[in-house]
Amino acid sequence: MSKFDLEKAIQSWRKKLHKYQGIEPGDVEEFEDHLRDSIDELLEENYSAEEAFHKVIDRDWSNLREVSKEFRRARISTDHLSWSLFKNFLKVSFRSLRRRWAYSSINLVGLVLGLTSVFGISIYVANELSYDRFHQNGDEIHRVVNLFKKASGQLHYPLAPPALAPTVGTSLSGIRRVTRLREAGDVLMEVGEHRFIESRGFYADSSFLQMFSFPLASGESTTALSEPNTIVLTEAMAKKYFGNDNPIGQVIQFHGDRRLKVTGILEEVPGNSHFSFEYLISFDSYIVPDGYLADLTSWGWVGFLTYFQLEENADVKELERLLTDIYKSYNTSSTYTDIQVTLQPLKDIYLHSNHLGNPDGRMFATNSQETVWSLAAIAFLILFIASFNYLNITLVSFQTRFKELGIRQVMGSGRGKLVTQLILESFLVVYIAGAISLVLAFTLLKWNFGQINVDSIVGLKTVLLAFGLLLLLSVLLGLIIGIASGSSLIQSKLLELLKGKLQVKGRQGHFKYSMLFFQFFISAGLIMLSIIVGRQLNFMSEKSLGYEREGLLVLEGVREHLAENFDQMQAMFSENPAILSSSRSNHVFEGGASGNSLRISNWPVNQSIQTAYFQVGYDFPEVVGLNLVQGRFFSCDIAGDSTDAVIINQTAAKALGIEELNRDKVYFTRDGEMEVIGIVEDFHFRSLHHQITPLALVMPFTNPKYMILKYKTDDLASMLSQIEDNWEELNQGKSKLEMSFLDDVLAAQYEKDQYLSSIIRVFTMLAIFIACLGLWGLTSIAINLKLKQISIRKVLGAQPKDILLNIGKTFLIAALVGTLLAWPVIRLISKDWLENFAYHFNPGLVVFIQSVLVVAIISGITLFTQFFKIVATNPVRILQNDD
Amino acid sequence: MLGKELVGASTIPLILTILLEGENYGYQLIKKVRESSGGKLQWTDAMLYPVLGRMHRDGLIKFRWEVLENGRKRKYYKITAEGLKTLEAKKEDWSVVLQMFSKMWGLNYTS
Repeated sequence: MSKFDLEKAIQSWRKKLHKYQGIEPGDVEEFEDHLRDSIDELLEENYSAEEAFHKVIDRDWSNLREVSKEFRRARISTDHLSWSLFKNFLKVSFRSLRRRWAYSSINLVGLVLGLTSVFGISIYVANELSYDRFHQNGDEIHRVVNLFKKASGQLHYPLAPPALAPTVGTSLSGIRRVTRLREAGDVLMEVGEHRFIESRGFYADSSFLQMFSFPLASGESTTALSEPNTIVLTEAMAKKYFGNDNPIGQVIQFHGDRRLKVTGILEEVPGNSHFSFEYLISFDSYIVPDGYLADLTSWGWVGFLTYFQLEENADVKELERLLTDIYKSYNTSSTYTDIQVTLQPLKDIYLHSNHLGNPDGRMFATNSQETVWSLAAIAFLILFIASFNYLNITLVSFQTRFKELGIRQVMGSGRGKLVTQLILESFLVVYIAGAISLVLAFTLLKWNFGQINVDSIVGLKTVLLAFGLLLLLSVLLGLIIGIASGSSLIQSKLLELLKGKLQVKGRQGHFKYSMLFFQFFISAGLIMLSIIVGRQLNFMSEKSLGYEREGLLVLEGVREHLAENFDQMQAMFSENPAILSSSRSNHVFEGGASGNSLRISNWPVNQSIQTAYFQVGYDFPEVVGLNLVQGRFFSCDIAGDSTDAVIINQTAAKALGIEELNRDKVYFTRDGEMEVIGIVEDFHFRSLHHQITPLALVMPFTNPKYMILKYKTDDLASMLSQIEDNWEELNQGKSKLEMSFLDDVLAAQYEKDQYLSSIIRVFTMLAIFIACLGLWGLTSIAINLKLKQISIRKVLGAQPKDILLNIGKTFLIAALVGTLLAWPVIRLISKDWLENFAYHFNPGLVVFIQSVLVVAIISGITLFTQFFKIVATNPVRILQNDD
Repeated sequence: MLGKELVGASTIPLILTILLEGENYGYQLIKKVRESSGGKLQWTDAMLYPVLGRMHRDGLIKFRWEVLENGRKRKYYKITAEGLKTLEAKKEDWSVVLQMFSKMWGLNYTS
């Protein structure tokens, strides 16, 4: 019997321990230490080594199976959470991202662009939604919007007669405050020697500063606007007028002979307010201009913004009914068949006012919620494309990662671990992309869109939201990849995976192609959309408007000064060879028009039609090139023309039932009969968003704001400076004249459409770029995987183009199907947008063909770059390298 | 000998209490328990280790390796702040049980 060797026995015991799952190398060390201690103790009690060893093993270590089970239980729940494992995942992730850097960067760039779009647009949307939310009483403030009904249609108007507010006051229960605003228009202000023309201000009731939260830096909100001839200024304007002197109590010369006392200084007026202003004059200072057809007790003059602040639990419907009754009881001479007063909540004004006839003014901002949400949708579509890229490229590149994943699986990585690894990788990519995008979006917005106050919108909440989005995205991407690839991984045979022979087909194949199809679907859709928007803008700029849009110059100035100097200006212009003719008007197709009612003399009042009207000078129709259908234009040789004559457009003639002019008498105002002397061909006196409605041209009864000149010259600069000199000579520097070309004035009406178009174009290019990146990546992987096949084909004499065609077939089919299916969807979407233009083109087959061509060319170019890779492949080297 | 459930419930507070005196290793821990219970509380030695593993997972203890003069490696355990907190909580639980039984059975333990 050989001698017992304790060391050997312990070594073999150690080996046995290793077999138990759950017992790790460290545990074995620890157990050995314990075992040796126990044996040493028995040796001291004079046991032999052999006896001691067996006794200890039997007594303490007989239940190793139990112990290992306990260990497994103790560790299992923590395995994929523990830090060291996490570090390992991270290391593997970085390694695999770096090894496949080309595809990783495609993923990264795509995601960065997509996320930047989403973040940027989200900030924009947040800004749009933040309008008018800064007022403390915001929930209680409502604007009066009147609904006027007529036989010929109905009209929502956000203005009320001046008498409504003082008549109602706070007498109705439920009303806490009421305030009126009247746009001040262009006014001349003088301080000492300095003259300023100010155009951004209101006359405001004294309650205005208490109802709305526009805090005063100095002065008393409750009394600042309660006296006549008082004014409240913004800090910037006070600085401009008085420098560093204390502005409170100073006097501003107003309209020449009036004096306004400064009683308050406003803190900065926030940009996200639906009205903005630089000064407020107390409403009691308002004097109705000469020639107006009404005064401040009028119920027929719809020209005053009126806001009610309601009690907290006020019954809005009931108040609307009561206000309607009051309105009707006073407004007895109305030409409308029905009037309804409605109360529009303050926070709805900015995004929900498109149905309203907008008051003529540059001080009111509105946007349509459709535009806002469509932009948001487009941004998310781009993120979709980027995500599809990510999924596609990651999934397809698994075919090149099978070896690694197979080995991991052999090494005992469970399905859970593999999926965790994949999710973690998508986490990494998404978060790196997210961080870059956040910075990019903020910088771009700050740099490009000065009007959005990024800092005021972007708070902790926004950042958290952004991170939430990133988290959602990364988990989603990781899970989809995990499920799509994991399932096929688990089911596939490891050995074949290791040999790299298994091709993942079936479910994952379908998945890949449906992704590809979606990308083409979205890209083609965006291409169509930008073509349609572009063509509509083109259509508008080329459409005949019924008047000359070129060769006309618009002069805008202070009404009184223009009126004073009009005759002399005209005389000077007639000596200027560059100026062919000139006239004046209170509208120049800039989007505005005054409104009135019109009826044949012997018609009952309630049959009146609603008509827009321009007050125009003698030669206006000739200057702008209107076409006369019947009758004549105004003539200075016929005495009554300046007061009793009216020219109407064809639409008005039709509404009045006039077919042949026969000295028809009409009522244009309530107190005077007029004769229809001419009918002009319909022209687009407002933007192409609007249908042509009845229009009347009358001679001025107030002071028009514009002069309009027809010119023909090769030397524009000297013509403009001559006009300026003439004005200086006559007006003696009292106020400035603003000059603009009519086509610029017209273009300003489509500014929003232009803006939308440029945004859609940018997004389309982004989408196409990302989709191309993805396409490029996919073909590249496909070619890499098929290099062997390609090489054999090459050896057998196949041309590179055949091979490319073979690979490109799939893509071409996806492109074709995507484009085909995008067409009806885009037609439906664009129909809505186009219908907000009364005059629009109809997207036909041409747009579709154009889009197909663009898609074909772009994807063709992308595929073509791969062509060289195939040409450059040396078949011998590839085939040599058979493992 | 104590029942299985009671051993299970008392193990963690016992180990934490012992570690309160200073860091220690597995063999000594078992020895101390045996001594302080007069042999009435006895673990199968091997079963201590999964418990230590679980306590480490939960952050109640931490460990370090030390190489002894004879080349053997020994794993020393030490109580953590989290472990101290847990022990305080367990102490309260046990003293409630203790006081309850003292009262009901008229025993006179002072703690």
